[in-house]
Amino acid sequence: MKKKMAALLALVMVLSLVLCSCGGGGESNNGGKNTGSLDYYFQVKDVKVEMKADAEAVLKALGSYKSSYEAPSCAFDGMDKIYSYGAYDILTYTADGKDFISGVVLRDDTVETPEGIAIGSKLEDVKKKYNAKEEGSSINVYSENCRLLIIFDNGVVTSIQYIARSEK
Amino acid sequence: MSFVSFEFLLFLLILFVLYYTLPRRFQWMLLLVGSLVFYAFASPKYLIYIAVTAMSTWAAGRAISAEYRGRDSYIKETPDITKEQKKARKEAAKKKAKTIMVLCLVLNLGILAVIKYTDFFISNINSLFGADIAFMRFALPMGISFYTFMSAGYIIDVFRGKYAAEENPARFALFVSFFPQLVQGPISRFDDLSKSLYEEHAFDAQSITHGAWRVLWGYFKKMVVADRLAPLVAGIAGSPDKYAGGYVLALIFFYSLQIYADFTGGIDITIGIAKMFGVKVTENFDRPFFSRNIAEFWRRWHITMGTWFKDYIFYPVSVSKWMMKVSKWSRAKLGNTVGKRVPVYLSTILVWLATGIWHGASWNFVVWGLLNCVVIMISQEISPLYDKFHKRFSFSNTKGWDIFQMFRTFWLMGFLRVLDVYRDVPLTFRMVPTIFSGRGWSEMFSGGLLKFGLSTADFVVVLAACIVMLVVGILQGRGTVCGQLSEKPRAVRWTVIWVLIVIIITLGAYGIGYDAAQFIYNQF
Amino acid sequence: MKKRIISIAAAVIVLAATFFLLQRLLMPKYISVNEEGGLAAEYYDNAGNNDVIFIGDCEVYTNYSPIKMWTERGITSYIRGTPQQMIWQAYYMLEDALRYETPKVVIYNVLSMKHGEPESEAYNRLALDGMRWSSTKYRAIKASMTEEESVISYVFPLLRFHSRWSEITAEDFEYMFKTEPLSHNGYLMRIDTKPAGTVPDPIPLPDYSFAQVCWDYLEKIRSLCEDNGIQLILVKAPTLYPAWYPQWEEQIEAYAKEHGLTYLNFLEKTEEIGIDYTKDTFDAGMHLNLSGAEKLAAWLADYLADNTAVSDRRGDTATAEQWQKKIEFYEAMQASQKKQLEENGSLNSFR
Repeated sequence: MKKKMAALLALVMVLSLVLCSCGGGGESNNGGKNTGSLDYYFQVKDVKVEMKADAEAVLKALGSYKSSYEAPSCAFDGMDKIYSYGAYDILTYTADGKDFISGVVLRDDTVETPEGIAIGSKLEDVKKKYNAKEEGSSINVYSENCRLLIIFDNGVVTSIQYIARSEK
Repeated sequence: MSFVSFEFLLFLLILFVLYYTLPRRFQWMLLLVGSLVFYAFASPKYLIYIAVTAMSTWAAGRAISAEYRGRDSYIKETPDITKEQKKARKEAAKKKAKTIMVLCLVLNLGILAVIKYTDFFISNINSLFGADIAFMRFALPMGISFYTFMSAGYIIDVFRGKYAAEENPARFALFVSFFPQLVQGPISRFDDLSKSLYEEHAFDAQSITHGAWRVLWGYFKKMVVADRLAPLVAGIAGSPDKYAGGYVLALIFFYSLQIYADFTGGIDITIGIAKMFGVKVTENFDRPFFSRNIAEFWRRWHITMGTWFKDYIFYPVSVSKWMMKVSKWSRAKLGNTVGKRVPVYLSTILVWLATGIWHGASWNFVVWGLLNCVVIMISQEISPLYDKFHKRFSFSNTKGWDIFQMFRTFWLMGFLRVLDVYRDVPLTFRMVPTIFSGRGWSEMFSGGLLKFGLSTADFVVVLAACIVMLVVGILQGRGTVCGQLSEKPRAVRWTVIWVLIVIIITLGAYGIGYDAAQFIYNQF
Repeated sequence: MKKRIISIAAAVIVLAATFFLLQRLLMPKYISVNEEGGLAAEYYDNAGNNDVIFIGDCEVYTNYSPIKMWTERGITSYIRGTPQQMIWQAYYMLEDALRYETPKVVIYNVLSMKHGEPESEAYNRLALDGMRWSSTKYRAIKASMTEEESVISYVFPLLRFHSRWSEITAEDFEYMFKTEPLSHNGYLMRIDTKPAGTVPDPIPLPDYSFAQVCWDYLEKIRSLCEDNGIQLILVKAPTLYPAWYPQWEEQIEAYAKEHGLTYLNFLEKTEEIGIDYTKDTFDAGMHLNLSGAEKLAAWLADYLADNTAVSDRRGDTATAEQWQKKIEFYEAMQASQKKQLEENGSLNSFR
C-alpha cells in the first residue's frame, strides 16, 4: 500500500519534471524577439573595434595615434575623446570612470569595413552588401549597439562612420 | 494609469470631491463613470473587451434568473403538481441554465484564453514541430485576468442559485469595472462587494481617514521598497551569467520582499481607496510571511485567488460525476488508502495547473504552479510524521519554533517563486543549484550588490522599511492598525502620518533620479 | 467642526512648510559641484540697465567679458547663457529678460541652431530651474521637456531632486537660503590655460540642414527684437571645436542677408582680434579663457560703440558705482583663481 502511495507521488513528480523540461521553448506574449545576431564593427590590422567596448584595450591594441583631443561636456563630468590615427579616428565616451568606444570615423580609402566598403566605393555596392536603401544622401544600417552611417555623393561613398547607439 | 502617477492622484481627487458633493443617489453612477474614464486612460481601444464581458455576463445572469423564476412560478402556480413533475421542471430549468452559463463562460474565458495564451500556444507548436508560425501579439486589455474571473464567479453563483442576478446592467458593469480592482485585484465576489458598492454613502470622516491611511501605507510599501528593489531584481535575473551563486540567493530574498511590498502595497491602495468611497473590498492578504507552512501561506497570500479556485474549480471538480467515477476506479485498482487520495490530488493538480497558467502565459508559471502542488501534497503526506515530531519534542511548541517555521516557509516560497524572474525554466533549474557552489558570495559582499543602481543608503532604507513592515505586521496581529492608531493621541497620529508622507515623497523610488535606464547609461 | 477645519488647515500648513524646506534642502546648490547651474538665476539681481544682452550656450558665457566691455567703452551688458542652451530656451530667456528691461542690442550665438530637439534633462534643469516663474517659464518648460520629464516636476522640483537625499552634504544645509555669486554679469571666468594643439578634422554629416523648429525660433527672436526696437546681431564664437561647417555658415549668412542682420563670425576674425590659441583658451580651443574673453570683448565693444545705438555709460554716476562693485568682484575672483593655480596647478572651483 505504501508502495502504491509512493508510486503515485513519484508519478506526479515525474509528470511535473517532464513538463519542466518542455520549458525550453516557452515564451510569454512577447515571443519571437529577434536580437540582432550581427553586430556591425570596424576592423583594422586584426583589431576588432566594437561599439561600447572597453576603450583602453582597443587603443592599446591599435598602438600609437597621431593626435588626440579631449572634449569635456558643457557642465557635467563627461569627457569625450578623439584619437586620430590618420586613416581613421576613434571616439570614446566616459562612463563610471572608464572609457568606452562611441564611434569610428574612416578618413581615407586605405581602410574599409569588414564587408569591404571604403571611401570611394560605389553606392550600388553598398546597397548590395548591406541590403539597405538610401535615405537622402546617406545609408544607415543598424545592429544592436551600432549605427553604421555611410554618406555618399554622386553615387560614391564620401564618409563611413560607426556610431554607438544610445539606449535612449 | 499607474497608481504611482500624478494623473491618477488628480483623477482620485476630482472623483472624491464629486462623490461627496453630488446627491448620494448618483454616487455609484459616478463610480462607474470614473471607472470607465480610468479604463479609457489606460487602454481606450480595449474598452470593448470589458464591455463585452460585462454585458454578456449580465445578460446571461438575467436569462438564468428568468429561467429559475419561471420554474418557481410554474411550481407555485400549477395546482396539484406531482413530485415527478416538480423534479422534471427543476431539472429542465437547471439544464437550460447550465447551457446559458456554459456559453457565457466559454465566451469570456475563451476571450481571455485567446488573448493571453495564443502566442504561448504558438511558440510551443513552433518548438515542437520546428514550425515558424508568426505570433499574434495581442495586447492584453487592462485587468482582463481579474474581471474575467470576477464575471465567471458571478455567473456560476447565479447558476448555483446563490443569489439572484443583478437587474441593472449599469450596476453590474460597475461591479466588473470598479477601477481600484482593475490593476491587481482582489477578485471580488458579487454578493460581497454589492453590499456596499451601490449604497448611498454619507461623508464619514473616520472611514475616509482610515482609508487614506491605508492608501498611504500602500504607497509607502510600493514606492519606498518595491520600486527601489526593482532594478536590483531585474539586474540580477537579467544577467544570469554574471550573477550566479550567492547572487541567486540574494535575488530570492529581494524578490520576495519586492513582490510582497508591491502586491500588498497595491492591494492596500485598492482597499484604502475603496474605503474612502465607502466601499468595502475584501482583504487579499493576511500577514503572509507569518505563515508556518505552505498550506497556511496559501490561506494568507492572494486569498481571493485561492478561494476562487477552491470554490469554482476544486470543489466542482472533486464532486463531479467524472471524478466520482475516477475515485471508484482508483479505489478498486489501487486500494482504499491510495484510492481515496486520487480525486483530491487530481483536483489539486488541476487547480495548481490552472493557478500557474492564470499567472502568466509561460512554462515558468505552469512549473511554479505544479511545484507548489507537489510541495503541498508532500507536506500533506508527511503531516503524520510532523505530528509525531511535535509530540516527541517539546521545543517544537514554542514561539522559537514558530519563528523557525516562518523563516523556513519564507525561504521555501522564495525558492519556488524564483521561477517568476528568470527567463525560462531550464535556466532557473541551472541557477538555483549554483547557490551551493560558493560562487559570487565574496564578490557580492564586497560591493557587488552596489552595481545595480542601489547605494548603501538605499539598502539601509530597505532594511529600515522591512523593520517597519515587520512591526506593523506584528501590530496587525493585535487588531487593525488603523484602529490602534485612532486610539493614540492626536499628536501621535498626525506625526505618524506626517512622517509617512514625508518619507514617501523623499525616499520614494520615483522620478528621473531613479530611472534605471538613466543610471546604466548615465554619461551617454 | 470649526476646530476640525482649523486643525486640518494647520496640518496642511505644516506639511507644506515641510516640503518647502525639504525642497530647499534637496535642490542642488551649484556651489562646489556643477557650478554652471547657478548662472540662470543670477540674472535677476543684475537686471535692468543692460544695453546689451547675450543669449546662447557656453560659447557666450565663457567667451565675452562684460567687465572688459565696460572698462573699454562703458557698455553695460549681461550674458544670459546656460550650458548647452537650446535656441528655444534662448528665445524664452530673451522674452523673460524683456520683462525687466529693453536692451539696445541682443547678441545670439548661432551654434545652437544645430540642436533640433530636446536632448538632455540635466541641461534643461540648469537652464530652467533658475528662471523666475511666469508664463514665459511655463512655455520654456513645455518647449524644452524631453519625453521622460513632466511640468509638475518643474513646479515642484522636490519631485525631481528628492533622490538627492542620500547625497546631501553640509553645503546643502549652508546654502538652503543663500548663494555665492558666481558670474560677472553672466560671464564665467577661467584664467587657466590649455593650449590648442591639433584639432580633429570635422566629421561629415549626412544632412546639414537646420531643423525647422530652429528656424522658427530664430525668426521669433528676430521678430521679438524688431518689435521692441532692439538690434539683433548674430555671432559665431571663435572656437576650434566642435566643428562649424561651411554648409551651416552659408545658411546663417543667407538668413542674415535676407533680413538685414549683422552676422559676425569670429572664426574669421581671430587675427584681427588677436586671439592666440596657445594662450587664450583653457581647453585646447573649445572655449576662450579670461585673456581671450577680454580680447574678444574689447573688439566687440569697439564694434558696438561704432556701429550700434549703445552709448558710453561711464558718465552716469549710479551706473558707474554699480559697475565699480562688479569690477572689484571681478578682480577678486581673478586673484582667487590665480592663487588656486599657484597652489594646486589647476582650478578646483570658479570662485
